[in-house]
Amino acid sequence: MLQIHCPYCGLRDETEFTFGGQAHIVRPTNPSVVSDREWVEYLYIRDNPKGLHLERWQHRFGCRQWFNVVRDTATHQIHASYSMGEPRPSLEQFCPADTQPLVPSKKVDEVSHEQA
Amino acid sequence: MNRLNQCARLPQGGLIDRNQTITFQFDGKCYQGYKGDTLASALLANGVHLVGRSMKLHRPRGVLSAGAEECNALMHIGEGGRSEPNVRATLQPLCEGIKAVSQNNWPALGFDIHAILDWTAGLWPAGFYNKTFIWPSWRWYEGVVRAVAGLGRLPDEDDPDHYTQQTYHCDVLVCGGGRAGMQVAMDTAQSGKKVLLVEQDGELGGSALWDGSDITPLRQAVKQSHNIKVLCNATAVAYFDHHWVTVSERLTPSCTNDARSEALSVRERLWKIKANHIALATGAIEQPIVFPNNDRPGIMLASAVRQYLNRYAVLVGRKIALVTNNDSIYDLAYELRKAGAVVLCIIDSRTAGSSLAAEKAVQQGFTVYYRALPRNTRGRLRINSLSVESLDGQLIEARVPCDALAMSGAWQPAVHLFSQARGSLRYDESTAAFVPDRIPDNMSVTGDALGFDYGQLTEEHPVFRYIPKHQLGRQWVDFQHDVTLKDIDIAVQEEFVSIEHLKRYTTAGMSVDQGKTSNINALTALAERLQKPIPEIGTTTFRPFYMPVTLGSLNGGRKGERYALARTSPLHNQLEKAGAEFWDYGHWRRPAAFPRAGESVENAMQREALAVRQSVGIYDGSPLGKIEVRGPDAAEFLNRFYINNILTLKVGKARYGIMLNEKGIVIDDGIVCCLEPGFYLVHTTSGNADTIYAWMEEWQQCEWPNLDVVICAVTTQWANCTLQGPNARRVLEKLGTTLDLDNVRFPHMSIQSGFVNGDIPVRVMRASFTGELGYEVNIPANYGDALWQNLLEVGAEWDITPYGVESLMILRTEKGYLHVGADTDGTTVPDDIGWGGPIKNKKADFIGRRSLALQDNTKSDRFHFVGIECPSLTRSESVLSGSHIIGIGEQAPAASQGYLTSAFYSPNINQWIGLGLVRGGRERIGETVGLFHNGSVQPAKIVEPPFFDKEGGRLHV
Amino acid sequence: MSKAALIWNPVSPFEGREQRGCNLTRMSARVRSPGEMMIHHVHQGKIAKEAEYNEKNCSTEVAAIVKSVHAGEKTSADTDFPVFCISPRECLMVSKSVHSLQEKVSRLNDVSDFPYYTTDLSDRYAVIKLSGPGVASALARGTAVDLEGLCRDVGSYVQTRLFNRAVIIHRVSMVGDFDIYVDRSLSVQLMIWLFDAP
Repeated sequence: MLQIHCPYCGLRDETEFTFGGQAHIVRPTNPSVVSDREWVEYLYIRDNPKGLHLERWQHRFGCRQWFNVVRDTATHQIHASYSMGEPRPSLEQFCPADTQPLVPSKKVDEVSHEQA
Repeated sequence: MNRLNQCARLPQGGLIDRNQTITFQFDGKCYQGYKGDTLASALLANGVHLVGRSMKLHRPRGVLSAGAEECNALMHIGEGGRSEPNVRATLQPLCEGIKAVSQNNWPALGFDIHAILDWTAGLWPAGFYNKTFIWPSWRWYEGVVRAVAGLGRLPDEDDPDHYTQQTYHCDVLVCGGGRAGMQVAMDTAQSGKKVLLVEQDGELGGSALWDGSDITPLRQAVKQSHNIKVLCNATAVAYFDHHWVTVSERLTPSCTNDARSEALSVRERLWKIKANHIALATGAIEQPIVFPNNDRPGIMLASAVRQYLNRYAVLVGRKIALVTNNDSIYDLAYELRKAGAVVLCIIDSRTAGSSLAAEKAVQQGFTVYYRALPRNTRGRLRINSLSVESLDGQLIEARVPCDALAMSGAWQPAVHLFSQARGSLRYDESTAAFVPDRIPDNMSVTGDALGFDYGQLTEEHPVFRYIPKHQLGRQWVDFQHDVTLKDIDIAVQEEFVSIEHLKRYTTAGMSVDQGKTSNINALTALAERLQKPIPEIGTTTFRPFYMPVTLGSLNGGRKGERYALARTSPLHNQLEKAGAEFWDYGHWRRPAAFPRAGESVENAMQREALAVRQSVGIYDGSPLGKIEVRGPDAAEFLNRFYINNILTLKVGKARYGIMLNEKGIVIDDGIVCCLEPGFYLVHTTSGNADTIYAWMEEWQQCEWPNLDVVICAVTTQWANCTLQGPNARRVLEKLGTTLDLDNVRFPHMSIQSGFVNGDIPVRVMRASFTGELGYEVNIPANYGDALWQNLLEVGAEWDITPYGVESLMILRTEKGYLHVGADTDGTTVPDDIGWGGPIKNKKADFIGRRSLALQDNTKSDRFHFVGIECPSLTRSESVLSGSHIIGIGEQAPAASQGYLTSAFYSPNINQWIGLGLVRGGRERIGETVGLFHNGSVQPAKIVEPPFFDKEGGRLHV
Repeated sequence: MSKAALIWNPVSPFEGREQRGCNLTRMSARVRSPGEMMIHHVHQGKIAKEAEYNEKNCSTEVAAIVKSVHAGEKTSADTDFPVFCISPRECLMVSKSVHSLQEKVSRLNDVSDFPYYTTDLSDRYAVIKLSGPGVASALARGTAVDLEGLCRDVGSYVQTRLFNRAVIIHRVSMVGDFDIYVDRSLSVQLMIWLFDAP
């Protein structure tokens, strides 16, 4: 289960949260003057990255606050949480984690088994 | 009753308790074993080798291993609701009275009619079912195939046992309680950390329990350490993100039905463990060797033979042949000889001079054949001889009589959990195994799981895994699913050459053992056939679970009255006393109606609906959603949710409102009241009480944090007794409140706060979902019980009648009142339900408004909410909601023009009435249509609702 | 016709079944009765600007509450009548009587730049007092939270999910007694989970 850091309550289990989709979706300030296309993009068009994703979560079974999270959709690593209303962080600071090998590889052979 | 007297049990030795004899049954015969035995070791002690039949071809099979990798000794244990199929006899601790039955054979294990499948095996190669049983129709074959296919029989009674789950947090989780695991646990515990050590076996020790090493001091230290919690009979079965590991702990062995089990005992516990660091000491699994007819009873893994010998004091045979491709079998040779068995020969597929252990064995008088493999074996129900040839096909020995064969195909580290955690693997040529390469953060791997220690190495590779090319007999790769090298050839021929495709096409690795003893041989064979290096072939993806886990433990305690979330109203006890028939509405337990003695629910509904309109009824409206919205910007906030204008709502007034989502779809309706300036009380449908509260919070926090407003959910703070009917006011007056109930000063759609009994606050809203004069009396929930009782008492004068949700549905249908979710679906917009007009009067934006202008929401033939009646039908006939609307002369198949969303026989109008969504319905008032249900068509007429009190005068009396 | 006096007694959701015990799990429960305490929800309105509250004229008790709400503290020393900070701007106050609480809150409104709204939620919550050595282990069957870690000291509390419902778990003694605050409509089944589930 994902462990998510709620800015108010600290690190908690995924089962206490509700997922809210992509973060920083801006609602048009005057919906009556936007085109159909703009409105439909606001309703439906979302990013689908393999990698870092900025998304909203709510601590439904805790403080009930909505906040934003930087999660890597390929590895599920959660890099940061920040409060609703804070500006989006720059993503360069979150590079994929490197694991230290315990056993030095004898050969260069890479196992090409399929990733989940 | 036959009683074989443990003919294969050695007089001394082993870790069993010879003072405790245990009697058990297998296939109806009685046997004896000792405490500390597994079912498999006890059977072997009694000389029983034939224990099952393979799944596809019903080949006779014997015990292969001594652990979780067992793929042959699958038995049905227990009786009735407690029975369990496909239990691995090697994991089943022996307990008194256990009844085991072999599977997949008829009429008997020794004489199975289905063995004809083995004689005709050529007809059933891999993938045969994709090419057969097609003509003329699958249905011809289905019955027979379903009866024959599969392995194991499900219990046919409910399971009386209990299962539970438990969360556990620790600093370090050590998976595997063998030598390496115990050492890691001790080292970590000494630094003060909290350690959980899980071990699959019933005892700590791992391979040290049978390889002669003494781990007693280490084991003692582990058991006595305050920082180490030990779980035995517990297997770590899955790794989930962020270091959550699931461990399946088996508590009561599945024995016969007995009184002790009747108590609230738990059979299996699923541990959900959160660890900061995970240490994997999961060991390695020995692999079989591929050679013709390598699957006969009596052919076992060498480490299993060793474990049965040293741990259980069982000699699996008197004349044993050893087959190997690595050094680890040589220790076994000495031990067998010492125990009094004859080691006929050691067949080593490596070249002479490549192994010091082999040379030493030769010096000690063993017969060792180098660069050799068995050519064939004989003995249908138990191996009785084998022949030996060199790797290039030269016959060495034509016939070697034997009664057992031990094979060691080298050791594959158990990297399942490691790979689930996205650790990467590397193929190690010298040990012919996949070993951990890059280890994830906060994880470590020790012991054989990192790579099997073959001891003193020579220049050559310690392991030489050879896959034969020619076929004298069938060469088995996956025992349980009967997959041979020939099947792999067919898969290659048909271009299923990815390892994932090979697995699914041949079903190798898809059985109960999940390929623990077959995956390596299968992919080595594939690599050899394709002439590709093994790393390029790779492994299939490792996924939860490592071992089968019962559905019961995954479910935990969600059984019976805990099956689903159940919410109870504060009036629950009173409703029970009044004779309520409770149904589930969303998560709430609510009265459908209050049938009297001998009355059906349908008749109760009719009686109650009549009583409300004739005098007065009382209803539990407590689950109705209630949300307080307060602040200087409260009105503006609410105005953005409703299609109605909220800014003009005056203090003390109530207004019916409809909410949409951003796509313009109707999601809720309810009454919003103004209690004080800047203080609003929002009502929602009962099913949406929590949803709308969350919806409002989301918009307030994420989109409009600048609005000065606070939201508080008070649904369960207030109990609600709703009075509806011409005498409602009289009842409320008699109750005695501080409220002014005058018809003019307290009109329909208004709200008042006051007190009852001096200081108990009440909020009374004059509103109606029935179309009658009515009051919703809200009181703090702890007083709900008293309020209901007191209203019944004061209302007795007017025959006050409790009515339930279903009765309310009749009443609201008579009035054509909307029920969101029943009369609306995921496409309904305000205009569909007749609310397009009021929107025009509102200038401000609200959620979903812009979507109403989209093309699909403005097209001409949308569904409209209309009334539907069937005046010609009698009470005893039925009209079902959900019926589809078609043209009156049409026959099915026909295009649906909409559907009936509710249908009831109305006791107040004496005819069948309903509501529905009909294409272009508003333009078709008066038209006769057909209602299609289950093959029959009933005539009906589209009308404008309501059916009763069209002017609505009864609301204002 | 003389009107018989109507009886107006408050009853908890458990009416008559307020005590439970279980030898197997070494745990017992008592539900706090209506009238034993009051629970108020206090919600701070929007801050127009980041203004400091004025300590001068409000009581130390109120100042302490405001401070802890801002700081997000998760401990309440008074185990009978605690204050729970449940979000950055909300707290639940358990008090003996409503009058003292209302007075406190109205004084808060007098001295601060932002209003406080109170709602009486005494009837919305059931408070189940669990005691016995087996409580923490019994709770661990239904929650992912590490009570030993997050709820170690007497007076500490967590908001979390327990057997699929939102609760506040409050540690009230050194020997592992916990109070559970749960929505009344979900409390009856919660008791079944605590005592009847394996």
